[in-house]
Amino acid sequence: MAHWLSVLKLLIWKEAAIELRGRECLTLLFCTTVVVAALIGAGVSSAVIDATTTRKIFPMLVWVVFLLTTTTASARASEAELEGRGFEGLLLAGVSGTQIYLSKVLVTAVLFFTNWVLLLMVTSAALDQSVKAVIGELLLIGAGAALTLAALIVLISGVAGTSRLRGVLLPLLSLPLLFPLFLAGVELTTECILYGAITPGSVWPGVMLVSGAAFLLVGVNGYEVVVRG
Amino acid sequence: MGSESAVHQPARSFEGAALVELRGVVKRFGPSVVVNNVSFSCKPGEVVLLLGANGAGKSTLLRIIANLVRADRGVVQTGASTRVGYAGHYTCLYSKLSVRANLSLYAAILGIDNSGLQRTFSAWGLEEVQHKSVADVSRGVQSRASLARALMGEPELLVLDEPSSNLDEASTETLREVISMHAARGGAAIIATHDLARLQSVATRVVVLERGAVIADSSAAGDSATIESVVERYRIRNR
Repeated sequence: MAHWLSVLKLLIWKEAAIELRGRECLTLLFCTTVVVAALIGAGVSSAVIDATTTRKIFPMLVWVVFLLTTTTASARASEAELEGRGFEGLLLAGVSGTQIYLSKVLVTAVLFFTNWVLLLMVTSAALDQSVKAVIGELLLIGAGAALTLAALIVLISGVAGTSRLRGVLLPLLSLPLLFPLFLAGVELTTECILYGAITPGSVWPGVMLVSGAAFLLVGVNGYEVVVRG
Repeated sequence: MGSESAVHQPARSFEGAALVELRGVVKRFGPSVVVNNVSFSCKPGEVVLLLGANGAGKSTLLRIIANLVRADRGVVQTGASTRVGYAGHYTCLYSKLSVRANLSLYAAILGIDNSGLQRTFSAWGLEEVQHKSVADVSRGVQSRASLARALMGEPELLVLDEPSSNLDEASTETLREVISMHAARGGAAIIATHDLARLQSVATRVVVLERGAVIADSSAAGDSATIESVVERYRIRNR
């Protein structure tokens, strides 16, 4: 178990080093987020929507931007693995597909969470909304969403990466599967923004948790099969 | 075996102590049969050259042996503790990371200490380029780094696909030495190549593939063929 965990740590380091070297995913995420949030801010402003309505649609806008930017950037999640067939060398060295998958999920989740933080800052500024009072809850929702999203995106990018239609397959496969996460995310964010906290007894934390656990379970058991093609 | 199933399994007890044994292996891509009912084994100390024209099925067969591709039918049996070192058309390295970072990763996974890693760098002449990213070095250096990776941790079975195709004469000499030493230690190697002139000297056996099937094997039972005669027949056939 200690060796398994130390190999996982090495793979996490490898994933982080690859991202930090090129910063491709970070740059794509952050640039798209800033541009799309600014566009939405300008659109809402020119539509002369009143402050109450803006506050009501704010959670939905945040989530549309979040899912749009993360799925756009996520085509790269398995790219380094498939480009030089690095995963084959790792598998032959005794590394399991589960370890490769988990390392990717963790690093991708950190990227997505960082994007969520930036997104909250930019969108709240663009739409003139204050989120300071519920920032703890929103960060918690973001952490859960980032992990759930990463669990699915890494798996789907593996499927799409082995296909000639990878650019088309990734959004086609991932967006329908992300629907429960989107609903849960919008509902939870709305509860926080409009009522100041997650409503006790709300079903949405459970929906997010179950979809995240399901994606993780499938990924842990299926990623190796998927990348082998 | 069922008619459409394949097994890749470690042997519990191995007759003849072969490091890998293939029985009736078949692989199709769509309608074309790429590997056609191939059976052969490779014992410790053997260096098998796999010859064949482009598209004969050499690369696919090697990937099946390395358990990177699943056969459609047949049995691929490896020794219980046999580890495979594979170097093929892809480097299995991360192009954004340095040569050193890539090989350090494998060294750490395989439990190789720093002095072992240094020996690998000097054996393959990688000291000067170790801090460059894999994407920034020549194809020849990438091939050397890929071979160094495949040989790390002294795997029992080496599976090499065109290992000399990007190597200069000095690196090919290193490759020959490494393969010979590996076989002398009781390891085995299966090498697909068109570079007979540079690699024939290390071979202890030659197997020829044509349209996915084995058509000549210098060690076949009852066959008096030597490596030289099999190679000569292969050359005449492919003129």
